Amino acid sequence: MKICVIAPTQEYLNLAGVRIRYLRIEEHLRAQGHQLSIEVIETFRALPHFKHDVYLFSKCYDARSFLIARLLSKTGKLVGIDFFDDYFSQKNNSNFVCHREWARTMAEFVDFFLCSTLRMQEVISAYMPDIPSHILNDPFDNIDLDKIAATSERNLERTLSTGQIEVAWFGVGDNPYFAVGLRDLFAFRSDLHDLGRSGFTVKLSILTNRRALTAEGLEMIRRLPVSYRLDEWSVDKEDALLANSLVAFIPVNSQPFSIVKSLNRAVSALTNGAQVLSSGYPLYEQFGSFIYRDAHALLADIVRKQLVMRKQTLPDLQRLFAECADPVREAEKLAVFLAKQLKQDRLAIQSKTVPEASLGLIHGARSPGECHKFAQRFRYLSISSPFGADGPNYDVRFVFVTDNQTLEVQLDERAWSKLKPGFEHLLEPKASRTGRAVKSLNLSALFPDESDLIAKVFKSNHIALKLTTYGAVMSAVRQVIISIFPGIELYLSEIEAPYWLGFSMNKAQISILNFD
Amino acid sequence: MLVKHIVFLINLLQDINIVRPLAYLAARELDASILFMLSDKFIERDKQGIWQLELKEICRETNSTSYIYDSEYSAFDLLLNKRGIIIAASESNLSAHAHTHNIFRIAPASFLKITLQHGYECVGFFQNREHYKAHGRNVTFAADLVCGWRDVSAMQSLAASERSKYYWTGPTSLLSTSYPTNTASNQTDQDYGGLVCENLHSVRMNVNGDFKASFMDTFFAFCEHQDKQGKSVTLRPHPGGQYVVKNNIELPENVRLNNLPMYKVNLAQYKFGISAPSSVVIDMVLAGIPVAVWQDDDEVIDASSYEGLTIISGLNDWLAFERDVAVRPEMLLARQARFLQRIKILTDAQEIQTRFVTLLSNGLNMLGNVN
Repeated sequence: MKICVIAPTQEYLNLAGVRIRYLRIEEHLRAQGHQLSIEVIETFRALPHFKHDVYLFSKCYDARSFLIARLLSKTGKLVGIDFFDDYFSQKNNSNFVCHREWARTMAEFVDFFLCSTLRMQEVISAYMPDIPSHILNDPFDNIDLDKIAATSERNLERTLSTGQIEVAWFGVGDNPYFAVGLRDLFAFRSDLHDLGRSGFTVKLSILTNRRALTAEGLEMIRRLPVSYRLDEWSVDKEDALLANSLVAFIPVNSQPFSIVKSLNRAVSALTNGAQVLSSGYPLYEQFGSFIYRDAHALLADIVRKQLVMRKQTLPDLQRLFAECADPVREAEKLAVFLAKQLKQDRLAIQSKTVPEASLGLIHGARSPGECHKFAQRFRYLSISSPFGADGPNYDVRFVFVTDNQTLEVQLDERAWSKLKPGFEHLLEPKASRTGRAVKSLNLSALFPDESDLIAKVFKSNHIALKLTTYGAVMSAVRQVIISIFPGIELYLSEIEAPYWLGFSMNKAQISILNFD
Repeated sequence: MLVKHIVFLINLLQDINIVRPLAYLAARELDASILFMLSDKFIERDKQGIWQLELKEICRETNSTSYIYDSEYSAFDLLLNKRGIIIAASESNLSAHAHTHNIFRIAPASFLKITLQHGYECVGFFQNREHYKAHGRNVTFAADLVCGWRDVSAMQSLAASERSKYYWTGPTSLLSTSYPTNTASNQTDQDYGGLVCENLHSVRMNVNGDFKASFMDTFFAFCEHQDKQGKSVTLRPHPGGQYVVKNNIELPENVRLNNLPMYKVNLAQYKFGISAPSSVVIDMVLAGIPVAVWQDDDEVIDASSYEGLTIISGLNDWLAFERDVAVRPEMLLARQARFLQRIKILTDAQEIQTRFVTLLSNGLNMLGNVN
């Protein structure tokens, strides 16, 4: 079985999450006779490029993923999504309308989904209730019990002889939407304070990403109640830091985004020989007594020289890891799950015939340029709206002609060849604004109501007009497109408010809006 | 024990002028390494490199070093494992001051942070009408201490939350420095005539109308008049604004341009000074020459902070002022002395030095036990 993870960007491939989640099981899948590779979404140029059996979307939250998923779903390939960040359960947060709409659209095409935790699985099941899913735990890299025992013992001895507790905090320090990372460290600083009041001095070492080190981030760091060192994160630095730290401090807050997180930070700490102190939400409950929940318990164990992770308790830890972080087992379970889905999918394909349909993508608010290129590359009609970017060479473009105050639609050759029979004689040859040969159809004559509405947005730049009529105008655009391209399957690309949520005002409401 | 540092944050071009005397004072009086931290924006602003050259000279004379920071993180990195005092000449919560304000926010606790008043009318200290319109009444500082020119009772724009931070030092410009006087000022037999200062870039020249033409027209007419009498005029652009330079304004033949840093200009050599409301008015008053403050004909520009000084508008006023300078300069100087007394500005150079030395040496010692 050939598995392909589809990644959003080249930079994404360098992230810790990719290394932990995919690369750690890759060799074990290979040992079992399977292949796993990672490709950036932009590298797919045509349908014949899809040679794998299974495609797994990883954080590709724009229209390109459902353009591909729609095409692959009819070809006997298994299509799925890997969910490990919760941008989906905050139903009252308008920042994530596009994520929620994306999940709903993808739900039509995917054959399965993977999740990092049970809680994440529960969240996504609300969007994809009938779709099979599997929990792929973040696995450890490798585990060397002797090394863990030696490291842990050495760090304890050093702590007792120097009177200094080396504490590590590592990970992504920020998030554009949620208060996490350095904010958690700052919010739970009282634990560090407790450690420091014990008679031991506390030396905190922070490894985090450069982007998090803004004035806000650094201001929080400087207000921590213990002395600190700060450095930019890298895999090697993380391993070295954990091996030299008595304890990794991993506080977790209780917001939905944080409580679905995988266990990988605790796994990394423990497998490198550091104890874990985690206050806040009990995310690492699975590891039971191996996680310190408050500073006083850790201090007491230091004094009596008996930390929870020590040579004698390591067999128990190994058993726990085998259940939820063993790369061999995770690879095995994944392969079994995917093989079963693949078999079922291929049986299902044989029994159903799929009618050929025209496909189209309408570009709404802030639709990315890549989605337009992708749509054309994969033979979708790329369709403008009054809200999309002006630049791209759309196949179907709405144009308001100021000379005669009419709305027309300009079609390129691929589009006019799909036009509903009966409209051809109404087409008028024209040159597009970039000089391409197009044919135009006078919409004001054919669809006066919809045209009036769409033209309103062309006539005024007023932000209030756009906000209030977005849904109605997008509905009118869809209505016109469906009327001139019968049977077309339409998809929507938009990543910014206002969103088209099927809401539309009635004509009476629209007529009282006058922004001209 | 961490090494003691006096760190000067430099962001605006004018900052050099304000902190320079303190750098010399620190070099003479304090046992601490001196460090200049320049924002990358400062380097961008100093297109001709004039101020970087000045800074080189200051660094050489005070045995100090300079670094450029391009982010909060790079500044943090520079400050980590050091202790002492950080001094900024322009720092507040206004967006224009973010590059110093944020450094104060993130500076390690081993530093005392001090913001200096950087002009007579100065946001957060003593604001004019345009300041209030643009920035409101609650300008705050990330500094632990703010040092002002006047008694706290005169600091009418100090926010309630900032009053306890206030320390009255007087202006740094009156501190003695060991700089050599410029060659021009040694040629005492030369006729320097009057000095006219422009700050046409200033927000106050634009907020309530465009006063640039009105000022320049009067200036040109005045120069023509002076020319007929065989007199020359010196024009000094604002160091940060440089309006006449940037806009290539053609100047009459009898106008000399003086674009030296203020500390290299001997103001006392001029017969008189004219300026729109600006800190340079105070500099000229303190230099002891007769000074007039220009205000537009309709009195739209707020000159109320300069009440008590000679206010002039049209050409006739300029000429009348020049006559007064020639005929009864003591009347003008007496008026200026009363003005200085009224605004409660500290002008005793020795006292200013004592206050700064006390502050900085105590600040350095207070931090002796940190880390």
